[in-house]
Amino acid sequence: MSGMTLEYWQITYVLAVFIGLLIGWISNPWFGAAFIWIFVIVVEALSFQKKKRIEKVRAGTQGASRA
Amino acid sequence: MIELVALAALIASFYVAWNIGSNNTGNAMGTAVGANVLSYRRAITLMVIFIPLGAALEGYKVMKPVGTQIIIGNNPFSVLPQVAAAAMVSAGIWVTIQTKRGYPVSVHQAIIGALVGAGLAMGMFPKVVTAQVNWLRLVKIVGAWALTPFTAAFFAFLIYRIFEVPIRRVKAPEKLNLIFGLSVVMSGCYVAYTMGANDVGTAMGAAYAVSSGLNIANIVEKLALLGAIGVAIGSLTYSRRTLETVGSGIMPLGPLTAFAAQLGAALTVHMFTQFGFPVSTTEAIIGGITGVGLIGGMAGIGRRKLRDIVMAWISTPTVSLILTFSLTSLILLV
Repeated sequence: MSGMTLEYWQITYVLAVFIGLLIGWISNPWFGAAFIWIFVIVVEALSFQKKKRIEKVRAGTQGASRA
Repeated sequence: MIELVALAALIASFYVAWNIGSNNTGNAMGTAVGANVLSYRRAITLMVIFIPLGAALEGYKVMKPVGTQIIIGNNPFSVLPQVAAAAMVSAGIWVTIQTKRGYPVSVHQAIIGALVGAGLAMGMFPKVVTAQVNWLRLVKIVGAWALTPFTAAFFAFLIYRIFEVPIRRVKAPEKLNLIFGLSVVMSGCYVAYTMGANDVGTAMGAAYAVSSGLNIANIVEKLALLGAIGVAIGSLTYSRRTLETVGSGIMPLGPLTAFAAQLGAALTVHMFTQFGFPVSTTEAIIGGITGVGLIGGMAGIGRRKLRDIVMAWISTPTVSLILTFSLTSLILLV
């Protein structure tokens, strides 16, 4: 059970959230919130794509080794 | 001086928001992760999206000076903002300890306990500030707290029983599990949204009481954003233990059991809200899970864990009360 050991994605999001706060405080709270949403959604979409690609490659190598 | 006090209140409020995120993320996403519908990472990502959304769209509506319902008096926390900050920190400390132990507790209850402690201490110094605890209101609220887990258990039990029979006749259970899984995730997102809309207001109450005197543009919206970020950071950094307790600590969950527990909890909270009682989502969700667990007798329920959680619920407002009483007395004496 890990309590406070943070993974890479968690640290990235914490930073993004703080940057969102800064933007929100300096300009408009809405911009800050929008920054967080866009950042998180883009990162998740990219990691999803990467996962898919890895799965595809893995399936390919498995198929090849079977053949 | 006022800037310094405002900064202290701001930090204290942010700390409470962090506590809400770290301890109460399990309420929103615990069942979905426990039932293996979502991974921990996906659950937290949804939290980070939906908490600021709730805060931005509705967070400013519930922003009100802390303790207006519990403490009767001439706006005591605006007169003594340092007491408000002390109450917030006292409430936060015990919640952090419970989070470290992995027990889901109610931050709201910790705050109410702290406010009562502050009210009692302020009542002893009538020359400095006029404040009294609204005992009648407090008794009603505590009564609702005691009823919450039982009501949620009852509803969850009932919902499970209602769905159980037709499910046995369904020919494609995988599809049905998908539907239940999806509804658990959607209701989790909804709870995250309400955490942003509602709990952020609770957390930032002390900061709001102080900062209303300062001349800052868009202060309510900015405080809502700050609170939302506090909750999101709590959720990102320290929510795993309580989430695991809710998801798998009491009993193993599946899509239907998770759905029944969550719907039972939601119905309970909504019902009490209609009567004007602030109840704890934490107690409702734990009650809901226990109610579903009762279907198979007590055998499937982690009784020791449940007992420890109930002890944590009782100790949370009590310890906050004692701590804030001592701190407030110290502040007023010095």
